Amino acid sequence: MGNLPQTPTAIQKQSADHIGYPTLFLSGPASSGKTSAGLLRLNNILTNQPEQSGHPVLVLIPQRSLAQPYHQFLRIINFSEGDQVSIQTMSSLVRRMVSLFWPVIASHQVFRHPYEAPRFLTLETSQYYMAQIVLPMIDQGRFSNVTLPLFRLYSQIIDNLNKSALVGFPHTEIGQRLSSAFIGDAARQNVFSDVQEAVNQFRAYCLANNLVDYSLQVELFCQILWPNQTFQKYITNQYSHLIYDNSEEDPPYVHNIISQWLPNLQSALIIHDDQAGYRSFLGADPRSALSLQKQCQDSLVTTENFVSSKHIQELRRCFQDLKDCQPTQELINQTIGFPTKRLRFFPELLDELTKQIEELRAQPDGKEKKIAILAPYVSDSLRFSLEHNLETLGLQVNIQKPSSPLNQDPVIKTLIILSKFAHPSWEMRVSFLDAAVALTYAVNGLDLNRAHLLLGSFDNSNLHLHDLPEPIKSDRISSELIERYQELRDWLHSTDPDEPFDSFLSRLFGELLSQPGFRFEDNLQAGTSTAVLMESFQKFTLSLDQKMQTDQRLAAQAFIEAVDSGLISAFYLSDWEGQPNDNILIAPVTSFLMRNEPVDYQFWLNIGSKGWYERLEQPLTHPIVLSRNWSAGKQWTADDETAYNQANLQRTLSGLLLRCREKVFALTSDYNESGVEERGQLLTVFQTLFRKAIRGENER
Amino acid sequence: MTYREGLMGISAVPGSGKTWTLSNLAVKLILSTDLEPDQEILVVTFSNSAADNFSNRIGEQLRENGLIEGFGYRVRTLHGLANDIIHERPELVGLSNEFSIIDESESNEIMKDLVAQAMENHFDYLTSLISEDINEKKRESIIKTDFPDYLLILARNWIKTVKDKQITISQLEEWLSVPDTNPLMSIVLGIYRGYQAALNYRGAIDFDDLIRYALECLRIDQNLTKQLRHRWPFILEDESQDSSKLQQEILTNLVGDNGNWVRVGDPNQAIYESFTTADPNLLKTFVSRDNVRSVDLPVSGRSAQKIIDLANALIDWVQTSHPNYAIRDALSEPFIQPTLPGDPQKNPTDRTDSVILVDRTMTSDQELVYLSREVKTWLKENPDSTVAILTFLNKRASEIVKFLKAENIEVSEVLMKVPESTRLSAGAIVLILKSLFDPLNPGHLARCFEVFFRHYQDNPDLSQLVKSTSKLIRELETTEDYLYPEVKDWLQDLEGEDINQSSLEMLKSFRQVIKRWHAALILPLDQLILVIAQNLILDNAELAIIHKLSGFIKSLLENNPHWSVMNVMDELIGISKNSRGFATFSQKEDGFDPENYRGKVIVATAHKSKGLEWDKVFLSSANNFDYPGGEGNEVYTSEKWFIVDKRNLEAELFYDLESIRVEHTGGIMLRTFDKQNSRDDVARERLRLFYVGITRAKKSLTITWNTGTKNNLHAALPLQYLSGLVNKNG
Repeated sequence: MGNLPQTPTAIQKQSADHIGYPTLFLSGPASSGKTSAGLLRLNNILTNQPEQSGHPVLVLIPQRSLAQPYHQFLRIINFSEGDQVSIQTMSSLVRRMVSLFWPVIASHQVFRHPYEAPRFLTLETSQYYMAQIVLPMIDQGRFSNVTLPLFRLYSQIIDNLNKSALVGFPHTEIGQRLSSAFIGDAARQNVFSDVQEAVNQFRAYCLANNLVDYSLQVELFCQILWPNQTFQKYITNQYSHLIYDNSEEDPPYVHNIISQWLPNLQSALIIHDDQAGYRSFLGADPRSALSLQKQCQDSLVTTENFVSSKHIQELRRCFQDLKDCQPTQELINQTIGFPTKRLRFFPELLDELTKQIEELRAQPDGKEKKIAILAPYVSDSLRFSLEHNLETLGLQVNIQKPSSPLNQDPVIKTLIILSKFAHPSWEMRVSFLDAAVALTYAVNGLDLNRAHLLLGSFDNSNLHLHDLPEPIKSDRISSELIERYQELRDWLHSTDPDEPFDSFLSRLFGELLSQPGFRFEDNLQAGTSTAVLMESFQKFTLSLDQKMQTDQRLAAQAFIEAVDSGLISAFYLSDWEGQPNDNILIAPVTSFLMRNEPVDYQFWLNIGSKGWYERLEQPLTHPIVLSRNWSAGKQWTADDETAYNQANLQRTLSGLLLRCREKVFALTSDYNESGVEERGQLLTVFQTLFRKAIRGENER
Repeated sequence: MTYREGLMGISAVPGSGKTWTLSNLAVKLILSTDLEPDQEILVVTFSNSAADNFSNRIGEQLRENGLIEGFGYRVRTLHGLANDIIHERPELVGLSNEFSIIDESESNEIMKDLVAQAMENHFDYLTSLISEDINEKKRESIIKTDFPDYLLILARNWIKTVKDKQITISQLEEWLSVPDTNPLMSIVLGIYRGYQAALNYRGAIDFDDLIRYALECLRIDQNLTKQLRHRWPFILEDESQDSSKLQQEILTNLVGDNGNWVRVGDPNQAIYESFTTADPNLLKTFVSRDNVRSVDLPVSGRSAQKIIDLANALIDWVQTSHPNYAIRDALSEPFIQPTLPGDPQKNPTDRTDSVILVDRTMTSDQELVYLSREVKTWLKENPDSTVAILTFLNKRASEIVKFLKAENIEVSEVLMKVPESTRLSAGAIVLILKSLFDPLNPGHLARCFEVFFRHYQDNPDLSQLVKSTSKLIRELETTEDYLYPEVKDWLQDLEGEDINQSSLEMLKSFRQVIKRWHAALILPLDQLILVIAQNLILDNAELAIIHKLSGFIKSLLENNPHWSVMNVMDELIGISKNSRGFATFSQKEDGFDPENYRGKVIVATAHKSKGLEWDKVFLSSANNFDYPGGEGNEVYTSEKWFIVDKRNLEAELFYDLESIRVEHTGGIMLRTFDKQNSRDDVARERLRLFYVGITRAKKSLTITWNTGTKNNLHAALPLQYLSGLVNKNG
């Protein structure tokens, strides 16, 4: 990753030529060397124009995790980002530009107080404001036909608003679009007018109070900034070259912008993965990305596969054409590992998985084996169990977490609890159990029993870490542990209550927990989590009103309450960065696909799950109905659902096999982790494949 | 077994091998029909235990035929099937695919608050329903406790009915907006509105919603129906006499015009139709249709001839001679026939004590003494047999259990309220959590150790070893010297002593597991429980229940975000102590098999005994309270003593609801309100329950009755008749 290909293919060479092919559209499947072509082109541009100042090259990616090869390449060639290359997502660019060009926006008088500073909303703070609008509506009997926890109700309405901006239709059409595609009765359809009203009120409230949510950022950028001549001049001066990777994972508004930008760029390479579009639930639109092809002077298609073995490629073809393929038993044996016995319950599946990994690693072929364990959803208990089971085999794991509430991250949980101890004036409670667990997570070598001893007669209504509880028997806790505990206690008690919370966190990590004797020392994951927490707090405060922003205590308290209630989530974007490459990867399928990093062996868990293809069904929003590809007035029925699921399954299987070198191990138990019996389509696909192979064998 | 396609209705008597027939038929269809990879034979059952049973039998037979288990068939309860259907398109009914299902206990908790609110808001009207003949002090206590409890039951059953009839809240609001409507109906409508709002807020639905929403999905999206028809080309339905109209409609939709559907049931065993549109006549009507092939399975090898004769005599008497004409349709033919000579399912031979009908008058205490004495005698003579004492009320069952225990009789409550396996698992989890939350306590650690090695309890030697090793832990001074040794290593010190090697091994493996669980304490509680379950050796049913428990905790935490771990612990302790119900898709025991309880006495309600059989059955409390005949002088639970004129408010509510529904759907309500109709409905159902009780017995049956707490009851009519018959004919 990040290395230039030693012997580039002809297509890669052509793609790299930004002078011969100034605007080029490069398409092909995953693992066909497209990103390598992007790196070659970047290298060419930098090599040919080393003296140019500013940011001549913009590398645009739809998600930060996809920036890794570019970051690594710049590191390899000792080129610091920012000199001449800027690697960004469109949403970060939009956010920055809206802030920078606020005076331009203000002059359009969209907001009630245009010359006051805007307050940018995060997803969480948008939910907070949406609640102020929706709750009174519920009291009036609105939304009575949907059965949803409130936070989901808010998030789905916000999602609609965002979709309208990303796809590019007026937010006033949301209710009508959803309603006309809904097949249910009129009583249930009424809810979409409730949605529309909430959307309208929310937008009006934002405009009246200078609140800028994600949808407004996009709309302001597209409708005011982009057409503005001053802005055009600025952006043209900023970037001369564009490398746009994984364009299929971006929503249509990005494609519109790029389409209009192309004539003003010196060069542009647009890369398109033909069979992807994994972020369609977030508005990604591969078809819209494909339309950029016409805007480019040249287009190239690459069909190479630099990753998969011939057998895996054959298996992929079989999955794509299940009806007509004729798999041999040999192909099945070479490419698919399937348990020989029926697994009834989930623990049996975990044991089988551990056994198979052990066997695989023990094969005396001397090869380094890169393994990924993939499941549609990776729950905390699954992650924990896999981590522990594999550790007993002496294997280390890298975990790719999906977006999840901050308070479910052990490191963050520990930081929050210690923060409460450091700030007794917050009057926040900590349970004895949580306090004990946090101590074990903070102090190296401290076990749960001794943490209980140290906490002694702990009073959760008056948070204070005591001096050593008396009488503590010195033979029960080593002097070293006592010393570390005292160090921790003294540090926490010396905290200035008015210190900004992010600065406190930074010191807690830097001065204490990352020092020898504490658990975050040399712990990359802990560093990442601390950074995520700090960043989350900073974003949170930006959306608060002036009074809250200036009162550190109020801001920190409000933030911690939001974290404790599970409201605030975070994306872990750089989990794998810097982690050893030979560790076993554990990831949800979609996250793995979006990482774009091939492995030798893949273990597919819970192949009976519908999660392999099914979208998250949400009664108040619909990613396809709100996309550009949906005909107005057409109703969404079970046939559309099935077609979507099948296409999604195809896309997922193809994507996974394109990222697999040697073999896939498929595992399922009759009852999943939650005790539910699962009979999804992927199970049927495997069953069909096996039957065909047996039948073929018998015929032969 | 000659079935190939089309519609078939099978009336099967108790013990005629319904499960055998349906599972064999399913296997035959899988083997003989060219199913596509995405097609399955759908078997629909009434209870989870029956679903497990079918699943295992079909799986076994497929394996014997060289096929992979688990493919080509799906066994579901009706609620499980409804859940599958909704998950195909939850948006259609306003749900996301993460909706949760609340159990009856949680639904009661929601309703309790709403009832209290209604009592406050409508105090004058509601208290005007209380009889004026009651003294002030008693009246106060009724207002405080009895009446709200009654209102809760009224509201719960009314809501159940409204959902079953698919009447929406807005329809009701419109219908009730006119003057002169029953004020009580407006009050329960208010409770319904609040209840549904509370469910919405939780993102949850109840079991009744599950059924009506599944049907709504099928009705709305014809493409979905078409897809499911393709997926399930054959539907085999067990216990079809208990299907409600809605449930039947779901299956009718899935079958379509030219589909394949085999319905097996026994109208005489329809005992679950309260507050739903379930009606044994639905099955009878289906069977009598021209396009339905009707088959009787009258032969049963379950019971001795004398017991069969008794059951048949009951059918005959009800049809021809019951003094209440209105309920003569409660039981119907076919009569039960014994198996023919040479049949592998040979009926037990008659014995002198095959049928004992105790017609003499006994108080409820005397009945307890009698049952205890007789059960002792039976077990002494038949120590390895299966025995059950059946009664009508849970309360009476508890009294029987208490009495038998005091008499040192080994008794199992496995079929009462919460399935035993649930209790054990919840209890086991509570003990483990206590130890994890308080790791310094050696007593908790020792109990946790016993739970961890619970699977050794059936082996006396190993069980003894667990006890002696647990004692060592209990005597520990400092638990960290065992779990996390530093200077002092308790386990290492033990190795130097004269300790059983196996004991040491157990301690080592337990330590490893405890450390793992300690590390998992950072996880949310539901996830922690899943981690714990991965290390416990549990049987399949227990494991499945722990999974359900974890899901239940997750929904508790989601619905109560500020709850601490200790609040959840209280709920778990509640389940483990049987004070809080914990329902799954069915109320029945998961995988209960009387054969596992030989030599012990199972005490259960007659309702819970359905589908089961024992060598000896005592059918107790057969008086005219538990089994009324529809006579005016009887006491009915729905006619409360503290209500003015002992009005049956429930029946009135249902009648008014039906009237207003008929009126607003263009019909005319011909029947006027008569509380006798609801009495007759109760009497019919109890006659069938009586029949079910009788037909549980294989070798011997004893029926007793008591005079009740006020000493004013008499023997139930069918018992009187059968006793007379037996006395007359011997």
